Parts: sequence; structure tokens; C-alpha cells
Amino acid sequence: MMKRSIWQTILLWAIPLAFLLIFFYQPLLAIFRLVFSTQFRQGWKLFRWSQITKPLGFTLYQATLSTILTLILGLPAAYLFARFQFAGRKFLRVLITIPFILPTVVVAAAFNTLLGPRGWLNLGLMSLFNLSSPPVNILNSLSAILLAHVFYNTSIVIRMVGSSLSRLNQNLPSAAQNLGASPWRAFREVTLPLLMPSILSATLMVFLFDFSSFGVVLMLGGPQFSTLEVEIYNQAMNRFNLPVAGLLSIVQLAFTLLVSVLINRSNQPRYGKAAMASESSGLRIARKGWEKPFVIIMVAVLLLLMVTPTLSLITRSFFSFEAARGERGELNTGITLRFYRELFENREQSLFYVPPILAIRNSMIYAGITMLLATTLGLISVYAIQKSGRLSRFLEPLFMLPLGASAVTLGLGFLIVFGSSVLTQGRFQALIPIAHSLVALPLVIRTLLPALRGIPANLRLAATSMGASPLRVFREVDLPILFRAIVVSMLFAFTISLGEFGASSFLSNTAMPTIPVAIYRYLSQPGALNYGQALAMSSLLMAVCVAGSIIIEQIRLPGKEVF
Amino acid sequence: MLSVRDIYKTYEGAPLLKGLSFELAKGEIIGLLGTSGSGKSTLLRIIAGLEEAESGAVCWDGVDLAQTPAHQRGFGLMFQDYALFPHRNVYDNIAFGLRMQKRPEAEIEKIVNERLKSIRMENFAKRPVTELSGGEQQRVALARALAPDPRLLMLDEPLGALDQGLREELTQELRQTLRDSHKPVIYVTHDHQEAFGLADRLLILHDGVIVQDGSPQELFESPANAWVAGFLGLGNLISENDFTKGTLMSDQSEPSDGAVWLLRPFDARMGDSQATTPFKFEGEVLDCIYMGERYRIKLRTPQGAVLTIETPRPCTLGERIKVYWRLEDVQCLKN
Repeated sequence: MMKRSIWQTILLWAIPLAFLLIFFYQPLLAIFRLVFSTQFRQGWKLFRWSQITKPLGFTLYQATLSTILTLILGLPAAYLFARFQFAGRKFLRVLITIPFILPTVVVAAAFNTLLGPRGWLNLGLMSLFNLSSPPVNILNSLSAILLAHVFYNTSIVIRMVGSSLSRLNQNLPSAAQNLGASPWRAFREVTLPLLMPSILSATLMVFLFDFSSFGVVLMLGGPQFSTLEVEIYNQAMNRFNLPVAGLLSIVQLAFTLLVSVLINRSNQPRYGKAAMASESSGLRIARKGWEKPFVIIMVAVLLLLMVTPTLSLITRSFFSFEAARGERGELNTGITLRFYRELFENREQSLFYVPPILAIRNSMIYAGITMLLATTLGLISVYAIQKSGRLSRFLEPLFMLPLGASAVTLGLGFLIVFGSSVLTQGRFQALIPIAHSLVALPLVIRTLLPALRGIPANLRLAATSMGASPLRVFREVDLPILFRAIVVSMLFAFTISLGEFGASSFLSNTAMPTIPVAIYRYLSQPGALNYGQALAMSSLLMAVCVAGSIIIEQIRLPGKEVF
Repeated sequence: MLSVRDIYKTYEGAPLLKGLSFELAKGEIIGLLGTSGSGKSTLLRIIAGLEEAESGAVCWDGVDLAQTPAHQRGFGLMFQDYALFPHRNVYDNIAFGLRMQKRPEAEIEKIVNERLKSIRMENFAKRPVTELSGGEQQRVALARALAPDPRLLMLDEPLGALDQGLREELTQELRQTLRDSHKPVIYVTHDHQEAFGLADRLLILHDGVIVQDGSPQELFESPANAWVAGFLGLGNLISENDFTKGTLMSDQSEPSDGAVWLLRPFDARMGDSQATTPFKFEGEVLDCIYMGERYRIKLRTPQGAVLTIETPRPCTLGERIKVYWRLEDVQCLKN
């Protein structure tokens, strides 16, 4: 009996571990090997230090700036949602969480429709002052990158800091006031220090996302702004300089791992239950002097920064202002469904003669495969983790490590390992769902593991004692209980795959793009039709992601929030 | 000194305090009694300035405190959950109020050490408060509230979170500390035994107003109405209706209207009454508990009402006995 269960555990471990070894650790190792073997052969002449330090410096610089700006908006916003009741509060709360779940290409497209040369701002200014060229040129600048990062990550701060603020025992600042501290002093001496751990983890989390940002920087920053991620992509795809790309990957990996370790540390609850109230504190209606203007200004700023970009994307995708090439004379400006209809047509001026519907079909197939692959592997993994008891403490991080590696690094590794192999010749895109599964796997495991651990062992024993075989026990006990978690995992995997850009940009065949890759190409091409198609696709992609996350929210799993 | 006038406060749309008033004299310890949810804690927060009443005034020596913010009132409040600052150690918790007063550090040290000594926790100065037991937390919270020398001390269920044994022990200690402080004190509790042991005067909060204000003895001897008698557990309450309908209701149920008679267990007499009294009952013994010098007996009448009596001799379970109360021992209360 004992022996059999050991073999079972080993077998359970073997499948996901083999997958990770082949598709994650092997590519990672290949990057290291390539870098060090080239180094060994060519000495240090291979690259100039500035090739590393320049992108690293810029990455740190923009990440720091973005994080500070995100905190400047996020902390007051967290306070707003944790303390005040106002009209439309719940709705605004939902709206501001949307940016976080959007794929990077959608964010880039959204900012393009707001601030780009064909965006609402410029269109408005042009028609207002009769200008012939767009007056605001904010795209391809650091400001665009920073704006997009703030847009993306503010909801992390609101969520993490806001939840600990609303659970903070309100008697603590009250006690400080009672002992003679002014409200401001009570905030500084009591509330703020008690919030510090969650502010710190939120800051690190935001920094990590800003640090490893790829799509946003690539599409909004333009060629002169290269973060590590963008530079890896440039070196590999445009200059075919794989060793330098590899070296950049290693630097990138080292930094993300460092920050991840810090996040893990800062997540340890420091004061335990002592600072927490049993229920979250009530909301109040703004009345006192500064409160009313604060609420009004915050709501306005949040609407402007967090809601207008997506709104502008949706509206812009229904408006046509100029004739597309090939549509001689026929100039129909105004509200139109043309861009959506065009998704199904293949026009000559459309890039590489690929109809958009093909990209949609590709993405659907990849997302479907990812959904099944990641969830199956995730299920096997969580059973393996659960079965192996104390040993799992050492084995679990093996599954979580892909979370630290960026998709671009993954793409690069795949390129090095599988790029030349005859087996994958021309079928390189088959690796896309595998890369997506690697990205989704840690999240799937984090979703499934608490659900599995929540099943009382007695239930299984009871079923077994009534004569159910192990497989029957799984079907009758585990599966119904895990069902919701499995659905959530599948949705996670599906939406992650649909929106993933970093790895796909390495792996997708020019004739077989995914939706994000197609959007990227359409956006970077001239022509109103390409632009319109990019927007229509982005809007659809956004709709799918929002729908997915709404369903995930509705299912509402017990246990920790999954980021 | 403290005068609370006509306080009105709603909570989530429903009225909680409805024109509540009382006065507190110098050096007086009053116990504020009420069921949970009656608004006791809210009243303390209003007095402390941490919450605003919709109308009414809190005055100190005749001066309305409406314009005085919480941190300038000089009223100490000990919270029910103690609200010790988890990021500060024992010493810094007690020193907090003194630091807010910008006292010199040497003086702060002297006062905090005195306080620590008075609660016999001199060796705990550097301990994190998260590592203290419930009783220790209670003591530190009291020391913290007293350290800045407040002109009024308010305690919100100070023993509420502790278990029974510790409660009795700390009641003694608390009584001593409060007497020694010579400060006016408002002591909030839902437990009348605790309040009887600590307070000079008791206020009973019910349905948003003070329904009775008096010494423990006054409350015990002449409860203002049937609700107070029931809340203090003074005895069996029999309503007029119970007689007219011919059924006796149980003592837990609230009498509907009209007058209510209070039949105290201690005054019950066994046997057939020679005197003319309507308070004669016959019933079956449900329970008999030895209480020391007397036995507490629960009796069920044929109508289904349960009466509690105390007698010097035991009864056997199931036995049918007759009891009566003399007319002069029965109190008639307003409903």
C-alpha cells in the first residue's frame, strides 16, 4: 500500500516536471549556455557594456518613475474607496479594475485612440482650431509610457492598500485621537505605520510589473526608449544578436527574482490580527471641509486617467474619419460598423494579406489548447504538491518560478532551443500554446491549490469506506468540490493566452499571427483601415477579457486573492 | 462636571439614542448599563468627540464641547478591544498620550514607570503588546488611558473580553484603581453584577433613553419598570393579562401591556396561604439547585408558566408544591 502511494506520487510529479524541464528549464539553461559559451569563445569583445547598462538604467528609471506616479494616484484612491460613500462608487470600482486585466496591446491601442495622431484629443483640437496636422505628440515619449503604466497598475495599489485600510481596526486611530493626537497626527502615527506593510508589497508589485513591461513600452515608447524587455526583443528579432539578448535576459531574470523575493517577504503579516477589525469599517458620506473636494477631485481624476482610455478605444472603433486607401472617393465619416465588418474581409492593403479573422481563429485555437493544457497540468501538479507533504515545500517553488521569468525571456529561450530544429521548421507557432501554458500555470496552481487543500480528508475516507475506488472518489468527491476552481483556472488560462503578447511576438509565424500580434502590426502600419481594424480587434479582445474576469469575480473562490 | 443633554443619534437609519440626558458629578463613578446594541459605546464615542450626535450637547463645567475636537477634550477612553497600538511596545503605548502633550522625555519616563509599577508590569516595558495575555492587555490599556491624566475616564466593557475567573480578580483591582484615581468615571457594561460592584450610581440605558438613574440599592429595591426588573434579573414578572386570561406566562416573555407584578424568588413562601392574596400558585418542580444556604427551585404551573423561587428546604423533582407571595411582598411595576 505504502509503496504504491509513493509510486503514485512520483508519477504525479513526473508529468508536470517533465513539461517544465523540457519547456521552461531547458530554454532557460540554453540562454545561460549560449551566453557563457559565446563569452568564453569571444571574450568580452562580444558587446559593449553600454548595451546592457543603458537599457537597464532606463528600465530602472522608468519603473521608479511609474511606481511613484502610481502611488501618488493609487494611495489617495485607496483611501477614497475604503472610507467614502458616494454615488456610483461600486460602478467606478469595477471600472478602475478593468485596466489591470487588459492585454498590453489593448492598452497601447486605447492610448493611441486617446492621445495618438488619430486619437480623440488631436482630432478634437484639429477640428477646433482648423489645424492640418495633429498638435499633440505625446506618443513615442516617456510620458506615454508612464501614463500607460499608471493606468495599468493603479488598481493594484487600490486593491492591496484599500483592503487593508478598510479592515484596519478603526479604534486604533480613534484611540490615538483620544490620547491627544490630532486627526492628521493619528493618521501619521498609527494608520500609516500599520498600512506600511501593504503599501510596501503593493509598491514592489507595481515596480515588478513596470520593470518587466514589454508591450506597452514597445508600442507607446517608440524606438528610442528601450527597456530590458524591448531590448531583448530588438537584439533577438531585429539584430539577430542572440548572445546579447540572452545576457539581457539573465540580467532581467536576476532583477525580477530579487523583487519577487522581496514581495514574498513583505507579504508576511507583521501585526497579525491585532491591527485588523473583525469586519470592514463602514463608509461615510463626505461632509467635513476637505472631504467633499477630495472626493470630487479623486473621482474626476480616476475617470480621466482610468476610464477615458478604454472608453475612447470603444468609441473610436465605431468612427471613421478618413477614406482608406483603395476606397476611392467613397468618404463616409461618422459612426460606422465598417471596421468590424472588415475583420472578416481580406483586402490587399491589409498586412501580409492576412485577414483579421484568421488571427482571431488562431488565437481561439491557441487559447483553447492553453486552457486545457494549463488546467490539466495544474490539476496534476496540485495533486502532486498535496501528496508529497513536507517535500512539497521544496518542489512547489519549481512550479512557481515561471512566474518570475518574463514571456519575452521564454520566447527567446524557445527560439534558441527549438529555432533551428527540423522538427519545428515552419511549425514554430505550435509552441505558442505551450509558452502560454507556462505563463498561466503558476496562476492555475494558485487557484487550484487552496481549493484542493480545502477538501476535508474525511470526505474521501468516507467515500472510500463506502466502497468507492480512487477514481470514483475523485469523480464523486474532488471533482464537484473543485469544479468552480477548475472553471476559474480555465478562464484564467484562456484570457491569458488571448492577450499574451511577449512570447507570441517571438513565436508567431508572419502568416499565422495571434490577435495581439495582429493588432501590433495593424497599429504600426499606416492607413485608416489598418488602424480601424486594430481598434475593432482591440475592442473585441477587451470585451472578452472583461467578460472573463466578470465571470471569475462571480464565481468568487474562497481563499487568497490571486494576482 | 459632565453634562450630557438631549443626545439624539441614528444608526443606519434607525434611531439609536433618543434624547438621552444625564449628569456626572465630580469624583463620581457611574455605571452605564444596557443590553448589547443599546448604544452604550456610541454614547461614549459621542462624549469623547469621536462621533457626532445629530442633536444635543456634551458640556463640561457648563461649556458646550461642540467646537472642541476629540484630541483636545482630555477625556480618557478605554476601548472594548483595548485598541493597543500593535506597532508600539508596552512602554510606547503608555507614553503615547504624554508625548502628545509634549512632556519632557524624563517626565514621561517617570510617569510611565509609575504606571507600569501600579499594574505590576515593570518588566514588560519593552514587550510587544501583541504578545500580552488578555488580562495584561487590559491593564496596559487602563494604564495608557490614565497616563495623560484625563479629566474624565470612560471604560467600555473593560472586562468584557476576559474569561470569568480573570474577570472577578480584575474587578477588585479595577475598583481600587478607579477609587485611587479620584476621577469621574463612566463605566459601561451589560453585566449588572459587575456594575453593582464598581459604581456609585447606575444609569440604565434602554430604547435610546436613560430609563433609571440611581444607586445600586435603589435600583434593586425599586426598579423603574418591568424591563429594568427583567434586565436586572430581579424575579418573576407576572402581567395583568396573565391573570385576566387565566394563563400564566413564563417569566422570560415580555408582558404586553398594563401593570406587571414582580414576585421575587426570595419572598416566596411554601404551602397554602391563610391570607388573602391572588399570588397563589401550584406547580410541578422542574429543577432544584443548591445555592448555599437556600435552594433555587423552578416550578411549572399547569398553565405552562415557569416560576423561580428560593426556599430553605429542598424539593424532589416532579413533586407538586404550593407557593404564595404575601401581598406586601409583591411590587407592582409599570410596563
